Amino acid sequence: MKALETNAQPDGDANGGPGRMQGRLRFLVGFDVGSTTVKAVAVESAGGQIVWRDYRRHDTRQAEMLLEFLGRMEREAGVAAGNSRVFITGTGGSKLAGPIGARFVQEVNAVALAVEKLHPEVNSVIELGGQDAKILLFKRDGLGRRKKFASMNDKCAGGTGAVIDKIAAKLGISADCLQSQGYRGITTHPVAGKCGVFAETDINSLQKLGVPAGELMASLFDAIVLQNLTVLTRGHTLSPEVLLLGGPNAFIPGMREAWQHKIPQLWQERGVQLPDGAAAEDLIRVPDDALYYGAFGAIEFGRAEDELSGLYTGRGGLESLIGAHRGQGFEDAGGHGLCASDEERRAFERRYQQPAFQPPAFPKGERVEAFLGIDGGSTSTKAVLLSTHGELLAKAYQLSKGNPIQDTIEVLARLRTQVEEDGAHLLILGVGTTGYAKDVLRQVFQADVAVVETVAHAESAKHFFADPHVIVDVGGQDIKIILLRDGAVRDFKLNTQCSAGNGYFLQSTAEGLGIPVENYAEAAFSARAMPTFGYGCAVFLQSDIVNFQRQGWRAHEILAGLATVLPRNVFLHVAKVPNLPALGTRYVLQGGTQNNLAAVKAEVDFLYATFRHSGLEPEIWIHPHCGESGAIGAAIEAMRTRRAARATTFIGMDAVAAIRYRTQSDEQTRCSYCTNACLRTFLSVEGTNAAVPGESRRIVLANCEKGAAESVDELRGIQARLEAIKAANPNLVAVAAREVWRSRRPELVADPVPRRAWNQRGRQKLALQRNRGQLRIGIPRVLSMYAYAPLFSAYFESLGVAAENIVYSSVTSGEMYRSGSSRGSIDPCYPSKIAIAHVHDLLFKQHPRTPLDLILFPMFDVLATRLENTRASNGCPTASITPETVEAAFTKETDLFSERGIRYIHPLVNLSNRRLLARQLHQALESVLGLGEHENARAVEVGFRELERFEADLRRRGREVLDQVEREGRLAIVLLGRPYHHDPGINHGIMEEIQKLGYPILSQSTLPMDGDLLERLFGAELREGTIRSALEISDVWRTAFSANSNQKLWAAKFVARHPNLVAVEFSSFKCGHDAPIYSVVEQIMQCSGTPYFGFKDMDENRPANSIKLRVETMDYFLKRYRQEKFGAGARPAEEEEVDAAVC
Amino acid sequence: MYESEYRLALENAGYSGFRLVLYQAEQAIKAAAENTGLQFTVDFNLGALNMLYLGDMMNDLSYRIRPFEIVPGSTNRVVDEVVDSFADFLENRRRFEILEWLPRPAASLVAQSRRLKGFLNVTGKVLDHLYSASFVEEMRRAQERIGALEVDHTRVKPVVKIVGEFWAQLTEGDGNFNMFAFLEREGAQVHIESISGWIDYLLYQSRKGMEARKGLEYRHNDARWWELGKIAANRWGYRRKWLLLRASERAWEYLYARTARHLGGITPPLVRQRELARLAHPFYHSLARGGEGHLEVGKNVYYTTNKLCHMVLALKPFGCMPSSQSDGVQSAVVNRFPEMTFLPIETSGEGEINAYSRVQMALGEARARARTEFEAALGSTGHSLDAIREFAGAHRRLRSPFYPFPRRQGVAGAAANFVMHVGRVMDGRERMARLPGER
Repeated sequence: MKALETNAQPDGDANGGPGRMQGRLRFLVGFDVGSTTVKAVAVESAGGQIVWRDYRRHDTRQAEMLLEFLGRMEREAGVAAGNSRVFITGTGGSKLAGPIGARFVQEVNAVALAVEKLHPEVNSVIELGGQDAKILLFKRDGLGRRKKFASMNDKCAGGTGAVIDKIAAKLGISADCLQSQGYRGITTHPVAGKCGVFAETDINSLQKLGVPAGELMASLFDAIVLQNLTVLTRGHTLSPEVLLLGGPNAFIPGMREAWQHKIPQLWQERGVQLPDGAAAEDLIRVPDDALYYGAFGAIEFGRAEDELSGLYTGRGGLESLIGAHRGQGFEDAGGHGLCASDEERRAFERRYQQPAFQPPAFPKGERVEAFLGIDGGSTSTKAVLLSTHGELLAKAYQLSKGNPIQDTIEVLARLRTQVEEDGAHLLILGVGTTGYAKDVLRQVFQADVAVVETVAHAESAKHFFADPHVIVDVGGQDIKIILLRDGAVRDFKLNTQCSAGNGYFLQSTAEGLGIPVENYAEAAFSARAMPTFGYGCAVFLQSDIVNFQRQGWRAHEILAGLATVLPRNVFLHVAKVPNLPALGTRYVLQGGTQNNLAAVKAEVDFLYATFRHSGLEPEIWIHPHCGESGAIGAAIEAMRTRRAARATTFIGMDAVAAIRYRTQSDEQTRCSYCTNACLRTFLSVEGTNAAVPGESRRIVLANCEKGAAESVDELRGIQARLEAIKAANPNLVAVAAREVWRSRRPELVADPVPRRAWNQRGRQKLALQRNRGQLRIGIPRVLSMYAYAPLFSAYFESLGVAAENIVYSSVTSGEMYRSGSSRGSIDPCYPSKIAIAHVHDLLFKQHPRTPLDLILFPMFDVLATRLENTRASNGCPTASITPETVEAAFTKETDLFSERGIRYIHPLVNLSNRRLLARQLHQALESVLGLGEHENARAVEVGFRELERFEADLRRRGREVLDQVEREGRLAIVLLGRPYHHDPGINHGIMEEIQKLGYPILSQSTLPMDGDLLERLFGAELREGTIRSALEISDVWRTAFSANSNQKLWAAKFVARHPNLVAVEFSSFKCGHDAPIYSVVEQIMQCSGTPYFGFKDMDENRPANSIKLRVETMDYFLKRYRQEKFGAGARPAEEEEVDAAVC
Repeated sequence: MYESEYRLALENAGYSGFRLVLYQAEQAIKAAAENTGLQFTVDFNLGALNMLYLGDMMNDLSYRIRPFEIVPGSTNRVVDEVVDSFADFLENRRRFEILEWLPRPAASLVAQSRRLKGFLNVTGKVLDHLYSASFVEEMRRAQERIGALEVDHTRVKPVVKIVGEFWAQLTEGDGNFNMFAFLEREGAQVHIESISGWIDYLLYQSRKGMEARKGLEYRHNDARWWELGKIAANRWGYRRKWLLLRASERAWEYLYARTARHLGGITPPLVRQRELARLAHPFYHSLARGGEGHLEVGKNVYYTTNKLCHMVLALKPFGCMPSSQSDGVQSAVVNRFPEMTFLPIETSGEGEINAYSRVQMALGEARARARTEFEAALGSTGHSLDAIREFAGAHRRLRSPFYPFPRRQGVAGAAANFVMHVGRVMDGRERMARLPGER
């Protein structure tokens, strides 16, 4: 506290002299009531000496903690009503200031005042709080004034202490251990820092690969720093010195070290001058008493206020606030309880409460034959034994201790005990695994089958209930809505990007409120009223909880309120299904969270309310073994395999007990088969073969097929198999993404270069014409360029620009995004955000290699279209304005283009009007190319011709693929997306994953438009008069103004009418043009019964596990769909080989 | 534009038979629908236009008067009464009908020609709506009622100019976090946007878009140099459309200014769209389509460089595509104009508290600037604030919300301008101005 004290000035000095009331105003008190802690400082008004200070966690009881602080302050320091002025800052401060007469001070203001006072040399401040992250920059403006720029997280708690807390709790790292957690010298792995949920997903995967907890935490620090640098700085550079404030920065050395590692890299890249002789790391520091800056800043604010501002009125008001929370009518402000009466509750429980599981007796000497199902889930491991008749014999459950193998060993031991403790003997006939860890478990225990989770859950539900329509599976982290028709999965929805509404959240909240999760329902049902929550991000629900507590709502009422959030989050936020009756009437609720009857009640009420106006009545069933439904599905699949007369490969229960394993994941295990250089985990397992004691098996856990190889020969074999699959199943998305950048080698249409010029203007033009051959043009490989690059390359080449001088930025990659995106000041969709990284690549990577003369980044205002009778074919505004935001990013501090002698040209272009386009290009490029009007017009024509050739070639290949699948009775997948979804860095290689399973891939841009085909698909409707052209969408979407949305809808219509096609829809997070047509696409598909799968809200995060799950489920479903559609004989032998190769 | 989305949302929500009435802005007077329950007549459309002007004006007036009102709540009360009066007036005014207006012989003559009757009726209705004495009289009455309020213009208020996405910048409610009320509670004076300004922008953009395509969309694109008739037809076709748009812009701006004049004269005229486009274009292409286009950038630069406010606050719903991109551009704009205090806020279901925090911080800067500006202004008068207040207290005119004190170049705050003027009046260097309608 010394630092604060020595710099503090007496009250009188700040105001230019002693105040009139100073005699009796002895103290200035500053409070910082944050999301997790309360900090307070009291100083003498006259001398500025600190007389009292403290810092404590408030455990969501902010008002009570403030009261307690004030009481102690009064007793210990002499603070009293009328002799002190109080100033409060922090997220919880505004509501608490009034009752004690205090003045609220906005927290960024407070921190800024403290820093300005104590550290005039500091230019940047980074404060990480519980749920807040703030960055403050002090800059001199052109008028010499010191201006402040502040930026805070406003919609998301990603990149804050909350994420650290969440992950530390998950990894079982105590607060003490966290305070010794370092960063320097520790290997880091890619982890998403954007959101605690994403981070947890990545950490889960890495944990299962055996990455140690220390490395995971260091990786998280890395991610948090990157997240804040890319989003919160809004493109500004953090100038030295940098001050680190807030709990995580103050207490966790690794967090500090991560900043000290990353910020100097940025300085070096941006050429920031450091003070002479100063080491970069020393310019990034945590001051003493970093926690108290908010409170101290509040006091500083108070010094500048008049003497009556913040006059302390005593604790009485606060006590009344706490005590009088629940006055008359208070409960009316919320909703009524989950049950209106005890009678209603009893009726509900009679109908929905599942009887406790009663295992059968296993007499001594009996041989119990059973199928074993293991579900290695994200937060727990479950196992069941099913009799040969499908009856449940035993079940066991264990919360994950971090290693699924160890968890499974323990769970199986418990199962065995249940059967054998009285002397019976267990014989396992078959084993199925499912869940995140299904493949590892299958390999280690040599299970017969690994079943994708969605299928396991569907099988389990079907085992107990006849013909369910919708399975609502809510687990620890995952939410799955599985839609069935006639017993077959027809679609499913997963929480790929958000875990809001999952069971883990309910559990952790209940425990945070001191109520064990087993007592959740009891507590929630006891509430007669409850607060009304919104729905959505779990982190912000957490903020709501704090607010409701402050208002006086009690724990059991909050739990009741949160239970009602669950169905809204599941159906509206995650699954985004506004019209549930359209999905069907028979619902099965399962998954561990459904053991919580309060959640079930809320879901039942929600379903009935949703069905109220539909004229239908939902039938709602609760799975009798909610938590083990996945394991039961796996056991059923094992039973099915056994019926196919295959003997089990399971190592046996004795071997399970004797198993010894060792994991290795370090530089020695790093894969060297591609540039990704992923870290692999080598698992050495002993004891799985009783016949050969001591025999060790090695299992390689890797991110891709190639990584599974242990030798080059093995790798070659794998590669050869993959190549064969790819050759048999063309991926036109990949082809388009590759071919679009190829030189078009068009005819030359440039005007002849005259020998001499007669005036200044002519001489300038002549020089430019002569220079065309040497002119080097950089073009970002992004957005609509994935559709129109042939037009521009042909245009330039036909005017004499050398093909090799048209330089595209590198292919999108995570590394490129991380290194180049920090200049962005906004957070639009990923395809737009990545543009800054691409121009960064051109400036900092391509230009230094061979200098560029200009960067061309057209603003695509209107796009070309082949569709007819649409209202317009406008480009997306985000995409079309991106070149302007890119220019802003690279010119706001210094003009990085002109510094490098590069011209940045970004004309507005209209591709639906060739003459206008010619004018626009002429205006933009005349001064660069010495361009004549006529040659420009000719070049535009050449450009369009080459574009048409390129498109025609793709469509021809598309026709070949279509003919092939028609001949062979197979299925092809059509990507419904936008041209930039061809970008492998944006589509995360999902289409390639699907291709590897043996499906040819097309996209909306590669669908053939041959007359005979269109006649076959649309002829009947044309003749009926439903549509006027085969290339129109007015029958499904009247507001057809967005070119790419129009194309997507037309492609959806095409797919829906073709028996050999199924659709996969891609959409990027924040896509305002896609959002309105989600349900239109869905309806088009549903009308024809065509399978349809969606990857929505895609962004820079690659949710590998979710992708895998979706792709596997899709494959499972499509195989059955194909058999159903084209008959049992439709499955050729080579496809079996494909399965073998992939599994 | 969002018609299909609304239909879809209703259908998905289980209201497939819900009736949706479509009123298309681009078709304006021509808009029509069958069995809608509403009759889109000329009277309806002209009433809608008047409603727009009056709505904009009453909205703007209330934000200009309320921060200075002496009796708390008086502005809202009077404005509510005036709005009700206007609503009654528009609803119950006698509709112009040509046959009723003409003498009987002429009426029967006109009645025989449907086209003539239609033309004269529409022209008469337009003139009646815009110029009838009853309309002007209604505005005069409103001015009188509002003018009876008393204000204290010596209160120092930072001026916050609101820009942003069309809906968020106009709507006061959950959609914009009730930001205007919040700003007023925090002691700011809010300068809001108008729907009329947006319509002015649409008209201007149509004309500029047309100019950009000049010569490309002629009726006779293949006219040769000797085909003078075709060339003349091309040019006349272009010029006719151009003139129509230009005349519409002028008429729109004139009518807005005229309404402002009859309602106290303290609301400023519409900002010239050409000026906004010129200021924005170096940062944001003025022909770029979507949302508010260049408007946010243009207004930010315009209001800052002309020192018409102390802070610009841009409001937009979460994920609004053009508006978000505009914010990306603003990061360079802010660096180019160091005197600028600009804050963008995205509104969504969450983040309200953080939004308020950020606004408060920016407002702190604006407040300091307003205070400095005021102290300099007061210092320049040589009078104490108490003396100026005393003088204003003694003159009823100076307490009128419509008192037209001059605005000095480079001074944004009302209080600063007011004390400078009153100081000069006290010194006899300026004369006290008349109130509107005062003889």
